[in-house]
Amino acid sequence: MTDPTLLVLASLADGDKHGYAMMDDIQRFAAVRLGPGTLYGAITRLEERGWIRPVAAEDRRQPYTITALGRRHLEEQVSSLNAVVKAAQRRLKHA
Amino acid sequence: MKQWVRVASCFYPASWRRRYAMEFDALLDEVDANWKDVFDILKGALTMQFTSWNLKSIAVAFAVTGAAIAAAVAFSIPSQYQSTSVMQITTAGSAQGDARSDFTKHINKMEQEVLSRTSLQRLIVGLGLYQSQRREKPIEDIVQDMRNHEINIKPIHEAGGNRQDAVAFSISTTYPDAKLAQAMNRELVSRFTEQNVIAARAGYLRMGENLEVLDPASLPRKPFYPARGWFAFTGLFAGLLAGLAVSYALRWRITIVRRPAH
Repeated sequence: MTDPTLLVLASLADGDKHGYAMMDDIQRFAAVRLGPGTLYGAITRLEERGWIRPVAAEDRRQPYTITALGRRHLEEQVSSLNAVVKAAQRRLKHA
Repeated sequence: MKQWVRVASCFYPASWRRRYAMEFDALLDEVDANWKDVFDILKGALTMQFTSWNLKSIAVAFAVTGAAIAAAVAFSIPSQYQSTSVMQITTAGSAQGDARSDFTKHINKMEQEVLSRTSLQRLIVGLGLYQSQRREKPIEDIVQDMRNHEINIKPIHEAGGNRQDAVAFSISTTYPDAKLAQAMNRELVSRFTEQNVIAARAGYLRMGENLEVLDPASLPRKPFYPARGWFAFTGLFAGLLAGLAVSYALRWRITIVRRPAH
């Protein structure tokens, strides 16, 4: 899974984060380093779609939170990915 | 590296920077940036530029770029000038039998002599043509190219005129220098005249064929090739088509991306 928008949603699923915290988190849980341009491209698209929104900031760093719509989208994507993973595992066992 | 990252981030559209610049700069302060990040930021900035432009702007930008590229290509091609002259062969007395056919045969015979290797070689050396090519390839090849591309002799069919006692033909010569194109043409005209005199002296001319110059070799004012206006127009049109294609592709992509998931 390398879709930056899904990675950002997954990162925000356990709490609000600013850009650098998301980059760091994504690198740890997915072993993918998103470049600053890619990360902010994803943030821009996600905010446009209403899947994340900015929350009050204490400094120049802007934290984001996942919205209910974003959480539902993430759940759908995860269940769809789960189905693919399970099907692949079944097929690998029978091969 | 930080300064390159900052420079790359300047390419984001102003509207995007108004909204995200402060937090994006804060992120860049924290990131241990490398060259991959610089390219990543540039890519992100270009994507944002494209998505922030309206479709008309994209089409216009492509059209202008296409025209500019085509014009640059056209100006990089050396100009070719074409000089043209017209000659006419007529009978001194009254035409007998199939005079036009005899005239055509006579013109073809003269043309063979005028365009022979020896004749063209003399022309090249005499006028000092193709200096740089002569250093690179044998003169036989240059003569062949000249015959195939730079000299064109063709009959003129006048509208409504079908005189039995006259046949006109044009001679066109093409060269990167206007004056030399004209000089080449003049030389060919005088060689045709020379050949006609030789044939007359040898008694080959049944009808006392007269060869006269209707239009002397012209001095070209404008290049014959490349047609720079046409190049620019083609580039503009191709760019416009590409711009429209990209616009529609982007609109389709944006529609898909913005379609509500629920």
